[in-house]
Amino acid sequence: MTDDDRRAYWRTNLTLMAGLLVVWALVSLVASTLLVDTLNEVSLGSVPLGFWMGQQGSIITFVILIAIYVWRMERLDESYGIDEEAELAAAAAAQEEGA
Amino acid sequence: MDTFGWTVFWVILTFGLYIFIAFRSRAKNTGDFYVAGGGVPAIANGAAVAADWMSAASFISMAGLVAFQGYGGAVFLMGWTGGYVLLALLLAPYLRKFGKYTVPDFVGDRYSDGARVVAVVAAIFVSLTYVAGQMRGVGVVFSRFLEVSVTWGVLIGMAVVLFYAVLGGMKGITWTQVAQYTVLIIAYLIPAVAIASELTGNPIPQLSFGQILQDLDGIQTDLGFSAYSDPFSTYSRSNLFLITATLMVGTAGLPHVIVRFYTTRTVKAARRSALFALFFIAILYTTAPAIGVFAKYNVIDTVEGAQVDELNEIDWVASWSDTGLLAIEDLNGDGVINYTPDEATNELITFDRDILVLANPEVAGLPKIVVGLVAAGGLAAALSTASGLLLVISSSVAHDLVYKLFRPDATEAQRLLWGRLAMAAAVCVAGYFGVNPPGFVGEVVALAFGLAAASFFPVLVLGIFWKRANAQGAMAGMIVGLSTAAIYMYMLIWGGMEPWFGVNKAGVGIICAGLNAITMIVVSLATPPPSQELQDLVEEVRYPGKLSTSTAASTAAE
Repeated sequence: MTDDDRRAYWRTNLTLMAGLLVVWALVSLVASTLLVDTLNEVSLGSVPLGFWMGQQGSIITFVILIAIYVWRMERLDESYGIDEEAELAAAAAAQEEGA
Repeated sequence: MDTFGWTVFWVILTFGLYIFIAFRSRAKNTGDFYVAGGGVPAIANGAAVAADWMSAASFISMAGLVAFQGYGGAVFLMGWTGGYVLLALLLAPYLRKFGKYTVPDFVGDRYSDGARVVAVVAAIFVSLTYVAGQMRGVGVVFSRFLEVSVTWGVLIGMAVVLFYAVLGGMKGITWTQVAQYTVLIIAYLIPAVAIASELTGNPIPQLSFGQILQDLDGIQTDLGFSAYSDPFSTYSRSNLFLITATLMVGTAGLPHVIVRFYTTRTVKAARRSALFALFFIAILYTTAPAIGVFAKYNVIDTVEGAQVDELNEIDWVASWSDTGLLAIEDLNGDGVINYTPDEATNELITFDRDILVLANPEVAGLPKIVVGLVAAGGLAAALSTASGLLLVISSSVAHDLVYKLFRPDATEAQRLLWGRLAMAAAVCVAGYFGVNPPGFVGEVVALAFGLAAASFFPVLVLGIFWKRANAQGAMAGMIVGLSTAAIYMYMLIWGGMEPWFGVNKAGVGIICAGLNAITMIVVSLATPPPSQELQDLVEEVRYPGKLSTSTAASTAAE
C-alpha cells in the first residue's frame, strides 16, 4: 500500500468505527439507561419499550453492529488487496524452500 | 434415579468428555500452553471465548440477580455484552496484529518494562477477584448436589479446577471450552424452553416472557413491592448508566478474554471470533431475562400464601434450606408464608440470588434429569472461566515476571513449574474468598470488571490509537485508575464508608477509567514522546497483513 492508500484505509476504518460506536452508545447508554422511563411510555406488545431495549433489544443490536463491522472491514481489506491467508501460505512456502 | 443420581450422571459424563479432550490435546511446550499455537478456527475460538466469558456469574448468578433486581438487572445484560462491541472495534484486530501472548506483553512492548510490571500486578489483581467469584459459584453447586456444606463445596471445586488447568493449558482448554459451551447452552435453554411452554404455550422464552411480565408487575405491586419493570427500583438513573458503562469497558479490558484473540491465525479471524463470541453469548443473555421473569413468578406463586408444613415438604425447599441459602420462617405463627418488602414481616427470609437458576427447574416441577443437567452446566461455566483466569495468572507470573524480569535464563521446564505454582497459590486465595464472599457471585465478578476497566482499557485503547502515548503516561494512568477503584470498593465493602454522590461500587470503574485516561494524557504530554521505532510500530498495527509479526511467522513455520 502507498502512504495515500494507508491514510485512506485508516480514515475509512475510523469513520466506520465512529458511526457504529455512536449507535452503540445511543441504543444502550442513552436509550436504555438515561431515557429508559421515557421509552417505557411506548409498549412493544405487552412489554414497555425501554424495558425491552435494556433486556433484549440492545443485546441484539450489539450483535448486528459487530456483524456490520466485520462485513465492511472484510470488503475494505479486499478492496486494498489485503489477503492474510495468501501471505501466510507464501511465508510457509518460503520457509520450506529455505529448509 | 433421584436428583443426586442424575447430577452425578451428568457431571461424570460431561467432565469425562472435557478431561478426555484436554488429555488428547495437552500442552507440549510453553507456546502451546498459553496460546494454542495460533491455529484455531474463528467459530471454535468464538465458542471458546463464549465459554471462557460466561462464567458462574452469567450462568448461575445473573438470572437470579435480574429476577430480584427487575429492570435494574439490565446493567449486567447490557454491560457484559456491550463490551464486545468495544472489544471487536477498538482492540481485537489491533492486538492480534501486534501479535503478543498477553496483555502485559503488549503493555511491555508498547510502553516499557516498568509499565509491564504495573500491568502484571493489575492482571493478577483483576483475575483473582474474578476467580474468587467462580469459586463461590462452584461451591454453591457442589454443596447442593453433593449435599455437603458450601465450604466443602468450594474445597472440592478448588481441587477440580486445579486438576485440569494444570493438565490442559490453553490448547486443551480451547477445545475443551467448545465442548463446555455446548453443554452449558443446552443446559441453560432446556429448562427455559420447558418453562416458557408451560407458562405461556410459546416455547421461545425471548418472545413469551412478555406475557407474564404484566402479571408479575401486578403481583409484585399487590404484595407491596415496586413493579418488576420499574426502571429505578434497584439502581438510580445515574447508577444504571455508570454500572452499565463500567461493565462494558471492563469487558473490553479483561486480560483473559483479550488473550483469546491472539489464538487466531489472522486479523480477519480475530474480528470474526469476536462476532461469533458475542453471538454465542447473546443466546444465553437474551434467555436470562426471560428466566428471571418466569422464575420470579414461579417462586412467588409457590411460596406466597402457602402452608408452611406443605412448603417444607417440597423437595427443593427442603434441600436448599439444608445448604443455608434458603430460609423460610412463619414469623407470625399463622401457618402461612407471606412474602413482603418489610423485613419485620417477610417470611421468605433468605433466598440467595445464586440459587435461582439451579433451583428453577425444580421450582417449575421439571424432571430430575433436567435438574442434574443444569448443575453440570453451571459447573462447566464456573470451571471453564476459572481455568482461563488461572492461565492468565500463571502466564503473568511465569512469563511476565519470572522470565522477562528476574530469570531470563529460566528453562522451559522451570517456567512451566513457576506457572503451575502460581496457579496453585491463586486457587488457594480464590478458595478463601469463595468461602467468605463479599457479595453474590455476579456482584463479585462485577467488581473485577470495574478493576479491569479502571486499569487496562485506557492504556490499551490509547496505546493503539494515540502514537504520542508513552510509558510514563501509561504507568501513571494504570496506577491512578487501579488504586482509586480498589480503594473506593474496599472502603464501601469493608471500610464502612458511605458512597460518594451515591456512586455504586460496581459503577466506579468507569469514573476511574476516566481518571486513568486523563492522567495518562497529561503525563504523556509532559514527558518526551515515544521513540520513532515505537511510533512506526503503532502505525503498522493499523493495517492487517504484510507485517509478518512474530506469531504469524512462527505459525507459518509450523
